[in-house]
Amino acid sequence: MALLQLRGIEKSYELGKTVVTALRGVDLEVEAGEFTVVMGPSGSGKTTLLNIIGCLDRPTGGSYVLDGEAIGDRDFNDLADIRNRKIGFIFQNFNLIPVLSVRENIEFPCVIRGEGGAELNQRVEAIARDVGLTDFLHHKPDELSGGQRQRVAIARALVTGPQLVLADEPTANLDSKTSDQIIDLMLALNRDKGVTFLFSTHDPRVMEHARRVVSIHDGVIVDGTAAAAADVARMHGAGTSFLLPYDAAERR
Amino acid sequence: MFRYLRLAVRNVLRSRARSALTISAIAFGVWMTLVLGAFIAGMQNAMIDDTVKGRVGAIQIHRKGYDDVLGDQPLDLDLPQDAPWLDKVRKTPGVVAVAPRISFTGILTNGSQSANYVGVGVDPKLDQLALPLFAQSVKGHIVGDDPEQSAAIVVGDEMGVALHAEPGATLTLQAATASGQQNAMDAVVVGARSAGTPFDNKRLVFVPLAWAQELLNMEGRVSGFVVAVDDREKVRAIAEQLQRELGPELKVEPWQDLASQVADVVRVQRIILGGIGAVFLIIAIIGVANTMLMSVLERTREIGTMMALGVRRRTITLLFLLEGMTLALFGGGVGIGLAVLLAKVVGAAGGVSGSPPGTVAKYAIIPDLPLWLIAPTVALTLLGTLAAAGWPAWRASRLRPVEALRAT
Ligand SMILES: Nc1ncnc2c1ncn2[C@@H]1O[C@H](COP(=O)(O)OP(=O)(O)OP(=O)(O)O)[C@@H](O)[C@H]1O
Ligand SMILES: [Mg+2]
Repeated sequence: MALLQLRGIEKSYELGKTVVTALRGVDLEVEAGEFTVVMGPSGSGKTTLLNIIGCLDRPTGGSYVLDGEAIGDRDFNDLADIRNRKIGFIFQNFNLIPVLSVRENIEFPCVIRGEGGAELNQRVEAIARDVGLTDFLHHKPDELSGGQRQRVAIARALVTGPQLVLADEPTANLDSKTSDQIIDLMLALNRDKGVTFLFSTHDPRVMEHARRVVSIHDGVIVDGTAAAAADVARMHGAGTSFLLPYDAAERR
Repeated sequence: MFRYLRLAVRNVLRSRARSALTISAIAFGVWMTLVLGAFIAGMQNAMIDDTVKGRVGAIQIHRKGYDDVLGDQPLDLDLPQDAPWLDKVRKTPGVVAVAPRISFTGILTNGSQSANYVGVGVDPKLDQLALPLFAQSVKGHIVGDDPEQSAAIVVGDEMGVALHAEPGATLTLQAATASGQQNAMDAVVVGARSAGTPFDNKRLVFVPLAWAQELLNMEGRVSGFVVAVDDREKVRAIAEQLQRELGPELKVEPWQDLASQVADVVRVQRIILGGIGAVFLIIAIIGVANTMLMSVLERTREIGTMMALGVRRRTITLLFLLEGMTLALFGGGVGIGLAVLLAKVVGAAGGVSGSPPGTVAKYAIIPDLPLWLIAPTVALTLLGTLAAAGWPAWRASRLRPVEALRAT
C-alpha cells in the first residue's frame, strides 16, 4: 500500500463573499522511498497541497490516508502527534528557533515528545555528520549561512526518523550553488537512507535530479512527463535541451 | 519542563531592552509596595510595642463585666491580689510576667488648683516586668525607684504643668473608698510621664499599689492583672487559652480588644497599603501583558514552526506563561532585593522618627519586612503576571499552524 493516498482532495478558501479554490480534486499516491517533486507555477496550489499532506491544514473535500491512517477529522493534538511521529518539515525560510543552538534545534522534535539522554545525543551527532554540521552543533542559527541553516532544518526533519519529509520550496532562498548542494544532500539521503521526500519548487533545474515529477496547474495534477517538460520549458524560457540527463554526482 | 523553562528564559533575554523595561516595571511596583509597607510595618511595630510593652500590656485579666463599665474604674468589681489561679497564669507557656494593678478615680489638688485624675496603682517590680517600655515615657523617677519613698507618684506631663507639680512637689489625692467614704492622702511627685495619647498626659497618675490600697481601703484587692508574653504573635492564642482555663467569671482580653483604636489603625493602614500596592502591581502587570502580546505577535511564525514539529497547544500556552513567570521572578527578585537593602540601610542608621496617627509621641521607625507583607506581594505579583500572560499565551496557542507559518 502506498505511503500517501490522496483521493479527490479539495481545498477552498472563503474570502468574504468570494470563494478561492486552491485545490480541485487532487489524486496522488506516493510510495515509501520515493523522491517526488511537485512542480507548478506560482499560485497553482503547491503549498496548499503540501500543508494538507503535512497535516497542517484540513482539506474541504476528499480523503487522505497517511501510512494506513485516515487523516479525517482528527483534533489538533492528534494531528500534532502525527506530524511529530511521521513527518519531517523543511521550510523555505528555514524556520529555525533562534534562541536554540544547532544541537537544540535538531533535537527539538524529540525533546517535545520527552526523549533525551545519551542515545538522543548520539543520534543528533550522527545526523549532524550526515548533513555536514558536526563542527557547528553549538552555534546559534544567526551565526550560520543560509545553506547551513537549511542543513540544520534537514537534520531536524530527519531526527525522528519520519516516514515522509515535506519540503516546500526549500531552495527558494538559496543561491544556485547552495541550492544544488542542498538538493544533492536530499538526494543522497533518499538514496542512502531511503528517506521519502516530497518537495515543491518552481525551480526548473530541480528537474535534472527528480526521479518523479508531479505537475500541478490551477489546483489539479497534470501528470506525465510531457506536462512537466512543458512546465520546465515554459519557466526556463528555453528549449528541451534542458531535459538532457544530468548526473549530479559528476559535479562533486 | 526544565527545557521549556530554559527556552522561556532565553526568549526573555532575547529582546533585552523590552524585557528590561518590563522587569523594571515589576521591580518598581514590588519595591514601592514593599518599601511603603516596610515603613508602615515599622511604624506599627513601634505603635504595637508601645501599646503592648509600655501602656496596655499584652493581655489583661479582670472580673467579668469590668470592661463593660470601663472608664468608671469600678472598685466593686475587684479581684484578690493573690489567688491559686494566678499560679496557673504564671506557669502558662509564653507568659513572662503577671502584674497586679488597681484603677480608681478622684480629684487631686496642689492646695490652690485641682483636677480630676485616673489613678493606677502598680506593683513597682512586677509592673516593670510586665511593661518594660513604661519607664521610657517617664522623665524623672518611676514609682518604686526609691524604696524609702512609699508615697511616690508619677503624673502625666500636661497635668504636671497645669498643677505646677514639679518633681518633689506634694499633691493631695482624694478618692472614694470601696465602701463609698471619701479619703485623701498626700503623695510626692517623682516623675512626669509623656505618653502617646493626650488622655494619659492630662489625666493619669501612677501610684504604688500598696499606697492605693490604703487610700481606697482595699488591702489585698486589685482591679486586675497585666500579663506579658514572650511572642507578640501569640497574644491571641494565649489569651484564648487563659480564658478557657480561668472560666467565665474572669475576662481575659488581648491588647487588640483593649486598645481597639490601635488595632483599628493597624488594620486600616494594612488595607490602604494593600490598595496602593495593588495599583502599583496592576501597572506592572499591564506592562507584562503588553510585552507578552508583542512577543506572541513577533514570534508567530516560530509558534507555527513549533506546532508543525508537533508541539501541542497546551505546551505553547505553557511556554508563554513560563516566559511571563520569568519576567515576574526577575522583577520580583530585584524589587525584593532593593527593598531589603533599603530597609537594612535605614535600619542600620537607626530608622527614621515619626508619630503614628492619633498619637503625639515620636517613635524611631525601623523599616520591617514581615511575612505578612512579603508573602502576599510575591503571591499577587506571580498570580497577576500569570493572569497578564494568560491571554497572550492563550492567543498563541489558538493560532492555526498554516496561518502562523505564513506570518513574516
Ligand atoms: N489562506 C488563504 N486564503 C485565501 N486564499 C489562499 C490562502 N492560501 C492560498 N490561497 C490561494 O490558493 C491558491 C494556491 O495557493 P498556494 O500558496 O498553494 O500556491 P503555490 O503553488 O504554493 O504558490 P507559490 O509558488 O507562489 O508559493 C492561490 O490562488 C492563493 O491565492
Ligand atoms: Mg507556495
